Amino acid sequence: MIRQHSGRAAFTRSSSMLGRTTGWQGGPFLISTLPPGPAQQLVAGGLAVLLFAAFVITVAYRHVQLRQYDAFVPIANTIICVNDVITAALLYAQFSVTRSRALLALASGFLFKALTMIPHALTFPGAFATSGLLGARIQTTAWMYMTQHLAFLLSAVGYTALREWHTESSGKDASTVVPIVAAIAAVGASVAGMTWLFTAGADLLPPIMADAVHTTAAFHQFGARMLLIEAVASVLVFRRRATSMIDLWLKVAMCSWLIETFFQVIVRSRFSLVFYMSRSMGVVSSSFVLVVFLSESLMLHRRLVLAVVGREHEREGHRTAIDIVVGTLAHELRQPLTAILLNEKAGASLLSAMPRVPEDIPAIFDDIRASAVRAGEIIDSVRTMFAATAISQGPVDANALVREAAELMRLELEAHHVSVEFDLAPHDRRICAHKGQLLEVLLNGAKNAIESLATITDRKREIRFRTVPLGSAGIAISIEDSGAGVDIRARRRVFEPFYTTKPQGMGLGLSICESIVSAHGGTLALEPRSPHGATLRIELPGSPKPDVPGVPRMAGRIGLSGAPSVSIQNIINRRREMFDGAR
Amino acid sequence: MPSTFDAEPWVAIVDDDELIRRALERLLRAHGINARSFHSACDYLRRAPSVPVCICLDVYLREEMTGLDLAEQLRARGSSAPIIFMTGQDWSELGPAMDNVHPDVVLRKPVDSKLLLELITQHARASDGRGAA
Repeated sequence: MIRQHSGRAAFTRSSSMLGRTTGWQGGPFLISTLPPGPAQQLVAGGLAVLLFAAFVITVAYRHVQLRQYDAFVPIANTIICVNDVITAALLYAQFSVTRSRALLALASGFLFKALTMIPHALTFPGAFATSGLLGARIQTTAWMYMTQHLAFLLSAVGYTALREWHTESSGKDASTVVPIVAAIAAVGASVAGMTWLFTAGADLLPPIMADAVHTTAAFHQFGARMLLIEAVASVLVFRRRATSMIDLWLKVAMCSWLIETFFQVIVRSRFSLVFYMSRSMGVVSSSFVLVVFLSESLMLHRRLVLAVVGREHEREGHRTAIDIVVGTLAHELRQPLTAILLNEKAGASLLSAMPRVPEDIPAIFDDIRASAVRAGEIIDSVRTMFAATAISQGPVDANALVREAAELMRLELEAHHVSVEFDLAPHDRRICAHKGQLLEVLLNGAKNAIESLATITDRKREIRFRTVPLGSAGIAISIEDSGAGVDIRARRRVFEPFYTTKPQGMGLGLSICESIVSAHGGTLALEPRSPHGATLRIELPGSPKPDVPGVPRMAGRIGLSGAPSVSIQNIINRRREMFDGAR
Repeated sequence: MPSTFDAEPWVAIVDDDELIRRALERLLRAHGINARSFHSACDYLRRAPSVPVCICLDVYLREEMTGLDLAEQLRARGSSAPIIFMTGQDWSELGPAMDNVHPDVVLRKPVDSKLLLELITQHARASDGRGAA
């Protein structure tokens, strides 16, 4: 039967784990666990190159002194602060799902960086007061800046180390609220302590600023040492292969951080080009990291939604399969029941003509009759039960149906690097059909196509959906692929009896697809395509008068529902073949 | 279609299920009605000796021609033999498939044997009446 594909299979696995809230590592559905793809690596690399270019230009013009904009630092700090608070919140949220201590460390680093932006802006000379608020000294903001860098660096190294050596998540059933609150409290306390140390206790520290604008030699020595420490830390961070989106973007953030620190070494005074660039770089990198995290989270959300919708369709497919199985069984069982009832009647008739009959015999015949009638009623009630789940027919736009099928398959198409082309009829063509069932046929066809493409490496993996008007009201839908061709699949799958469908199977199999198409009065064919691949061709005649059911006179119960032009002959023949195959 | 007049009125049974054919033959025989059974539509067209008083016809037959096809063909040929359809399908599955043949009666399997017998007897009597007139 049709196997599961990795994308959907991965979902099935992780969704079964969602029930257990502990110990779940997120699978491919969290930015902290999602492995970065080539596109994301390219974007990250691109940004790193841009940062480096800005760095080179800045170094070239390092002596340029610009005007003093007092509002610059508060604005830059505000942006960085807001960005980093949101990033920290995102990371804390990730921690609460995955319980990875590494994320807790990194989130706290971002939060520390964000919170220090506040006293830094407040104490910056000229920003809110000539000499800064909170009793700022000349040295205050410079020390804060240094500490900020060191602390964030520490958290980045901590994150990497914990990712490397501490793979186990923290206590399985432990609350995540307590560590988060504790971490936030610790960060808040250290920011407050740092602020106090660098304002009230600033005189205890060696002077690194000559005045409100110019740096001293000690400043550059500190900067050089920090650059050294940071370089060592960067090696630790960069050596580890990025296994998640966060790993990747942490590397970008480290690049920006390294460049900023390098600027500390060469900066001669505030409000120089180097000074402005170093701050701007902080703004750009923090914004970029946040935007990437948010957009990746949304992309993951989209994947989840698609996966959930896919499962819903899978369930619908199973219902359709059950309906067809029950219908087949019902038909097959009614045959022998008919024979039983006719035989009973014949026997009873012969019996009634006999002069002497043992007294139990008529009762025996009555019971045979009652039992057969009851069996017939049971079949009817089972049929009714499942018929209730069947959705009625309606006008279906073939082009829209094709697009919906492609959209539902997008996850699997992306996972298998299959590109999709559409070649659709210029005018919408509506046919009267059971939309869910036809969609199931298309999904099944697309799945088979993807499967046949899995082994293709020497040419483009491509699926083409085509709709072509057929006659005055009909439509032909074809799914063409550049895959392994029709032979292998035809031998293995076409008309495979449906009873082998595994409960976790994805689709219905072509046999049931054919039943569905036949029930719509159409035909289904799998043909080879040149030069490569196969074409699944579904031809559906238009239904000229779906709303005129035309009720024939019937004896006994009458219950016609508005089915379309059904070629029941086909469906019955197909079912009989299936049953013959199953026997 | 053979048009030779057959003095004995008879009932045609067309069903691909042998057990059903045999059982229905027995039932009709028990009630003194002549019956001939056919396993397919082609079999009927080939072997039917004359116009029967009625045809008990399975809607779906395994061969190329279904009961519906046979009914359509008989109508086209101007046959007047009434047809009692029998089907193992649900009503909802039949739907407009019946449109073309305008069946007189459709019985669903498992058929109500008493009702079937009554219908056949009625047709036999009507045929007798025609024969007498």
